[in-house]
Amino acid sequence: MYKGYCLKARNIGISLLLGLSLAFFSMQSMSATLIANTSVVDSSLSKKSLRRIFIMRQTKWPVGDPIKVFVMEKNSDVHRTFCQSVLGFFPYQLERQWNKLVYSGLGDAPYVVSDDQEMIERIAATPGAIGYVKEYKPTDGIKVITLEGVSTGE
Amino acid sequence: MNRLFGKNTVLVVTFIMFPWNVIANVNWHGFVAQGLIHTKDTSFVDPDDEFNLKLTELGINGSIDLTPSIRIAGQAVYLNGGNRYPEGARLDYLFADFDLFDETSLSLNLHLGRYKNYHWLYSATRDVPHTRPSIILPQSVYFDGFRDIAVGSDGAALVGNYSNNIGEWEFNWSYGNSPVSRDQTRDFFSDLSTGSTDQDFVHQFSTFLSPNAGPLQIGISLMESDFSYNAGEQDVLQSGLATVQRFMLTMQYAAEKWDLTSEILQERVIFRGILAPGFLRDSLGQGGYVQARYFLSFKQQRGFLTTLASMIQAH
Repeated sequence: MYKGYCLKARNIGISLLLGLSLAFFSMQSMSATLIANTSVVDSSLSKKSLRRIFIMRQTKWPVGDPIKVFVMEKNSDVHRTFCQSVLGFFPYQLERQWNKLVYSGLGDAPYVVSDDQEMIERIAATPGAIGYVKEYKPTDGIKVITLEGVSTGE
Repeated sequence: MNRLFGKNTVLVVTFIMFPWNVIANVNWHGFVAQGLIHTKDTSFVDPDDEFNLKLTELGINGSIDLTPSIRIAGQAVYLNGGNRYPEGARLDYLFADFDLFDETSLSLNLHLGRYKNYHWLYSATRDVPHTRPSIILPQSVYFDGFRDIAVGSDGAALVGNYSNNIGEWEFNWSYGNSPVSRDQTRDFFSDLSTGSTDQDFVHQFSTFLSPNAGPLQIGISLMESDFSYNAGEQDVLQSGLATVQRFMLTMQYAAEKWDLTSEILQERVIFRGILAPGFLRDSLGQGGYVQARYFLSFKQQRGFLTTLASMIQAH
């Protein structure tokens, strides 16, 4: 099943130039779309930044606003796919990082939601929020975040 | 060693975790675990050769954001590990966390207060059952007799995380000390000692690297600590100083259904005085462990638990 990521460039001009060739990219059986609250200035993130955000080591956006991370339950297919295909972690590695934060005072774990609907509602209502959904439908208060440096693979 | 660790040990542990957010800038979490333990021919946990419940771990922690860059974090625990360490409640950590840098490739935090030991793979969460690879951690590195001293200290710690083209780096530095109880002094120097022990300082540094953000993590950890022994009245021991230096290499490899972990250390211990006036002993020791885990499927876990229950029932 192909869903892919909608790729956007850093600004509108570049996205128009690249739009035809980078409209979507395939990640084999990848089925997740990275989304954020529209208050988030960034429209694309590097894999390195994304990993730091989801292991909760980068807790502020470059403009200084706090990052609120939302994830699906650890046994869900979309969480497993997102961890392995996008972040390059197995889910248990991510959980180990979060446990270390929570039980040694280093920081907080992400908020956990149960499905796409809850993810969209929570992210739309939370400034600075970032998360992912299995099936994305355009929604007020939500923007799609693209992954930098990922070719179309076509 | 056989006397200490025995030959047959069967352990069962269950736990519940209950995290929740009370208000936006306050977070609380907790854990409770009760184990059933059976040891034979050893007093490591309990001298009796019967199943017992001396495997209790209970903790509650919280944090509050005072400003966007300053937070307070703390944790209290109640532990009963039999003879492994004194039973009772403890303040595990309580520190002010200052967010010095938080950028796209570097984060750096300063902890002031009773900070945690982040220098070994499991030192920061050694009491939390679902964060450990085994019910009792490898004693060559995580000797439970030193748990209260090794788990954290009063002082300052820097905790950093950095990403570059080589991979993802974690680095930690800390300087502080911990109180040493009379029970611990007796454990170290025998029941005949009547004096007191002070940890003058513990200075630690560690760094970990995940090359290309891949499945491998390697690390180095360094520690130096001085302890002063102050002889008591009619003490068989003399006042003196003990220095401990530890150098440790760590490795962890993560695969989808298994992982492999190893920590190998060399420790130098220097005694000056204590056992006799002018006594000097400078010794080196090596230790470590290699631990592999295979992650069972739900069906495999159910089969294992059924077999284990049958074994306990038969016993």
